[in-house]
Amino acid sequence: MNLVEASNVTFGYRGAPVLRDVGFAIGAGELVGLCGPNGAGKSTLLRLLLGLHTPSAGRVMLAGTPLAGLSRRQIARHAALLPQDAPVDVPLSVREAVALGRLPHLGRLQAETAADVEAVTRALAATDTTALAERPLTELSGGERHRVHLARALAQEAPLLLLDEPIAGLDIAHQLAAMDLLRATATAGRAVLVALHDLALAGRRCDRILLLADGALDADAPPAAVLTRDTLARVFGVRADVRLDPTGRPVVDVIEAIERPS
Amino acid sequence: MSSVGAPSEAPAAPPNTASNEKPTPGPSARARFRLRVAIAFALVLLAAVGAVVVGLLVGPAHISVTDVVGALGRRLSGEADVLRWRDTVVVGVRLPRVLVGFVAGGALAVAGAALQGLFRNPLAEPGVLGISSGASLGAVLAIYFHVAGRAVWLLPACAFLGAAVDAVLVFAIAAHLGRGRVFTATLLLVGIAVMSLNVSLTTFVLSISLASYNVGREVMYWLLGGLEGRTWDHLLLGTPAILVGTVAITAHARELDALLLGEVGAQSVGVDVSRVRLRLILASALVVGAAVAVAGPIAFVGLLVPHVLRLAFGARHVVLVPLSFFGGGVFLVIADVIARKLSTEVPVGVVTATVGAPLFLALLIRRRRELAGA
Repeated sequence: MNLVEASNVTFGYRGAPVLRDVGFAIGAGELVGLCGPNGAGKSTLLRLLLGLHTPSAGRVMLAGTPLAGLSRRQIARHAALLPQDAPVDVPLSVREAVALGRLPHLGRLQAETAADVEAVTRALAATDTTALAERPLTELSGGERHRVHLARALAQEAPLLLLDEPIAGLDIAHQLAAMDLLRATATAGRAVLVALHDLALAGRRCDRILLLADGALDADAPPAAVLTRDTLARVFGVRADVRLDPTGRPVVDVIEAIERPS
Repeated sequence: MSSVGAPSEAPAAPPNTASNEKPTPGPSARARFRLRVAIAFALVLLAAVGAVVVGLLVGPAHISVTDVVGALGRRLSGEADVLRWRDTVVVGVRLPRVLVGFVAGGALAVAGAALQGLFRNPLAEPGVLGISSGASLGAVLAIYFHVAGRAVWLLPACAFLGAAVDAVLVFAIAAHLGRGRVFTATLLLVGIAVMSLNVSLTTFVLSISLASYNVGREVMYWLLGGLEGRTWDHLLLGTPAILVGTVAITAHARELDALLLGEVGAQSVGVDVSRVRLRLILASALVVGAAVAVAGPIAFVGLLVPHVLRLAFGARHVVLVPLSFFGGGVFLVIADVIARKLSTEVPVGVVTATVGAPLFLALLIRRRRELAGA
């Protein structure tokens, strides 16, 4: 079954169209990259999938249920979103912030169960933040804080994980670690949709790439079919070398901009 | 931290396989949290008892601890047949004054804690956001239009309405100006504008009410309010709404915690932000309306108390909100004691503002970068 399915989704802010007629489906076990130039509508699409915006046409289904009929809490049990710009000044400890991921599983007056504590512990370990657990979030570096927010999304244990640029602020080792973590998360039976600017990393780690250009879905295919010289020139306006490694994955090397992006 | 940035330790384990490194620090962290909470509550309860006792002892008439204990004992045992003037001072004058001050201070601090969480801003406070002055305007209008005289609960109800309208208005305008985001500068400026409007309208109502001696006197008397001459009736009038509002806010503690992650973050963990926001604004207006109705507008309690408690005991609202109730109560009772001690009686709001305004400025200076950028 598809964990998320968008069909003919169209959306605009106050008349200005952002997404036009976007349709795709993601099933359990898939790690899908969401790529496209700035302003292509990546963040907006992720928000639509979480029901933070309502499409003006088309619809989104979560695990076969129309999104429109679900409460925010039901959605949160099904899908976790890691937003792009999480606030910096959160006066909580790392553990407290990660534990907020358990909120959709807890009743109003219900105390945390052992399962909740375990989920938090696992998420901390998976994101390499166990050693930071008792420190205030405000004392962490940008990259550390980023990993904490990723841990929060993981602790939510939703079958669908939506991430908006989760690796943008990380050093190279933690970028790779984060991608490996997402890979493992997908392999463990969840569906992961991750917005990425790093096309090389997207090509190397994702099963499939959704390429957004000017609000329309330009491609929905395995990386080798999407990340081609021509597509990169047409959509991103860059000249790039693309070769396939022995496993058939594209290795992308961006050389220069063909034209100044407007 | 040693493990940070060590690529060899990089996480590759799928999240569903439990990590077998390190003993799980979960239970011990919880135990430490519980200990911290227990200490916090023990401290505020002790302070609450101390503040109430001090509040009963201080005043023009000399009353000793023995008098207080005796008076309370005789009242509780129903042995009130002998009229002792000290009993009347303790039970009829000082105790209601102290308790009204306690619940009003608690209410303002609880509202402060809720608003600071809601707006993700330590400068949010019922006074600064114009909510208290809205409650005053509601109360004064109720007196002017003879609504308040019809039933005793109508004055607090109108104060609540004034507070609720202003809270919703200030938030809606600030959010609109920030295109959904609420910036400190906009929030404060909108709050100031609404407060100025409230104060002008209140003064206007006072001016036209002076045409009638009785109405004018009543409005004037209410505006001078403070904690002087508070009775058991005031306590009975204000307390239920304050308790209901405080419980409602505490019940939303997890949502308030989640809102610290920002609006999208909170929505991602299942918080229906617009609904929760409205509920919390109304609950805050309820407690502020009740507090202002029985004690008049008292500034800065809601700013100072939650801020200090957050620094001392953390930002988890399930602890912060109840602690703020007791902390606010203690603060206002002590402020009232100081006000009574200063030569002749000074309104308690003077004392709270003297302590609160400098703190407000200090917080403002600490956020100068955001203010300059916003």
